[in-house]
Amino acid sequence: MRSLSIRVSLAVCAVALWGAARNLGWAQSTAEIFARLDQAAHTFTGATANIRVLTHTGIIDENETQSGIVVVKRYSPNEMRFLINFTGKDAQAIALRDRTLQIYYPKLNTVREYDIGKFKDLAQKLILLGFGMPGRELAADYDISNLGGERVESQDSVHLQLTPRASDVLKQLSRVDLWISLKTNCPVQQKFYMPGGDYRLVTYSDVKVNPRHLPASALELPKAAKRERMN
Amino acid sequence: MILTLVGISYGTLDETARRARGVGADIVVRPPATSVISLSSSPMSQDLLSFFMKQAHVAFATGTMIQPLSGFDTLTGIDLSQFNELSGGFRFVKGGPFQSDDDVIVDEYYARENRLGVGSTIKLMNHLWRVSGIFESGKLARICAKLDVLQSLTGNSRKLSQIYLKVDDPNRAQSVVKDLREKMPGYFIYTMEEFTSLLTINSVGLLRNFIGVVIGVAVIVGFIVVSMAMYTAVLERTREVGILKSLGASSGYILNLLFRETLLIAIIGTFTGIILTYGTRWLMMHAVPASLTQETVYKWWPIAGAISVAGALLGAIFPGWKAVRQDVIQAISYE
Repeated sequence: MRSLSIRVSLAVCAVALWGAARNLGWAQSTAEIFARLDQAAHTFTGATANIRVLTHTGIIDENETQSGIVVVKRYSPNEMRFLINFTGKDAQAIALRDRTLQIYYPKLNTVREYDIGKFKDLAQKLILLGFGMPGRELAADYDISNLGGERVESQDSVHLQLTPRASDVLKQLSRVDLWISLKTNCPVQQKFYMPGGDYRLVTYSDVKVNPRHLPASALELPKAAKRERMN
Repeated sequence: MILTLVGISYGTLDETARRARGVGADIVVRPPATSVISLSSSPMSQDLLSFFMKQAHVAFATGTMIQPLSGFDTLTGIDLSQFNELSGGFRFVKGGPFQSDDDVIVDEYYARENRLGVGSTIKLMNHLWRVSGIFESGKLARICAKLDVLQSLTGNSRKLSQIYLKVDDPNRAQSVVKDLREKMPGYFIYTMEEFTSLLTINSVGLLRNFIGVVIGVAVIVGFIVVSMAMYTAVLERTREVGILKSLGASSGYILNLLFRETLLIAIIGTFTGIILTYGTRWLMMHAVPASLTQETVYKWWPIAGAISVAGALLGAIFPGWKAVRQDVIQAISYE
């Protein structure tokens, strides 16, 4: 009996040591991570993934989840377009192209278009945080802490903690936690912390980077839907 | 033009404030400014209502969902029974509350502008709605639909854009706001007085810029028109100016003459403009009462007058200078 418990203890220790060793193996310096991101950003043309968004309202400790698919495509070094298609009871799709944010309401068969003007860069940088984004760009916008390797959604990833440098952004967004996959160099998870305890946890799975065939139509909303220009 | 456009800006804001006060709430709660991440105009959970109801001195809480339409119009989703409890209810001029999910109620101005009656149908957000009632204007919004229906149609189940709170004693509103701000940093929480006081030209950047552009355009247009008018007047009176100069009129005398004429035209123009604003106000009240509300903004009368006089005088400088520099012989022989 005693030898059995010793063997179990040894096994547990071995597993823990193996885990720690793996963790150490993933751990990279921030400079190494930036170099990887810079390289990945250079070759990034687009990505597709499943997306799950959990919105947490802190004061009432409530979670609400939406899921769907996301398609990202780079059109120029400074322009990325995306389409997020949420499915289920509250189905809707959101697309960003140029300065126009489009929201598609399937039950109304309507696409509402908003010119987001000066907020375009902010929306693009926040929603697509980590997709094809060079490390230097991250470092320019955030103070970054490297929290080491973690396994998220069955993927080895590096956990970065980002604090916005701009004071106006900081008022609305206290911090962002970002998990970058070591395999795809794209985010596995983003966690946006708002002041007051609310947060938004976005998880990506089945991420396909630089898919061979990603037509422009993959980012388009239904053409038959009625278009309404809102501003 | 200046007075009419300024009047519309003030009128639109004051009408919005009047409708907000008509809700009967003491406190307004708006979501944190994080919509750039959530990409939603209705990001607050409906379950926040039960949280607010548990707060000290909060007697009642209800929420609305606001969907922008074209222009200044919005479609507001309400829980009618809750809203009635908060505000004392709509006063229906015709018809009554929602009968079915596709029903809307509209205020009398919106009904008049769009020629709607009870039972009429109207297409909003690419959805066909039936008007079940027309209510007296001055409460919350011009067009209201069932909250749960609007939430479902827009894929925002149990989400709210704005929350209204009623406190047991209105004098305690400020202390309740202070308490809530500490508990919910990031949320915009105001007493109704604070909220309506924010609806001013200076606090709405877009309107401030709009008025700036309007004044700029009005001054430029006024300047060009007056300048052209005075230039033509001087050309037409070349012979008269020549005769005046031959009779010994000094440059100052001729300039004085022109400037006085300009001043008179500007003053007459200002008064005519003021009278015309009453005309445009009447026109808007009868043609587009829901879309445009124009107020008479008395404090802008002297400002508009000063702009008109300054523009006209500036416009008269070049023709005046040209008139006094004319050669007398050439001027008299001018055909």
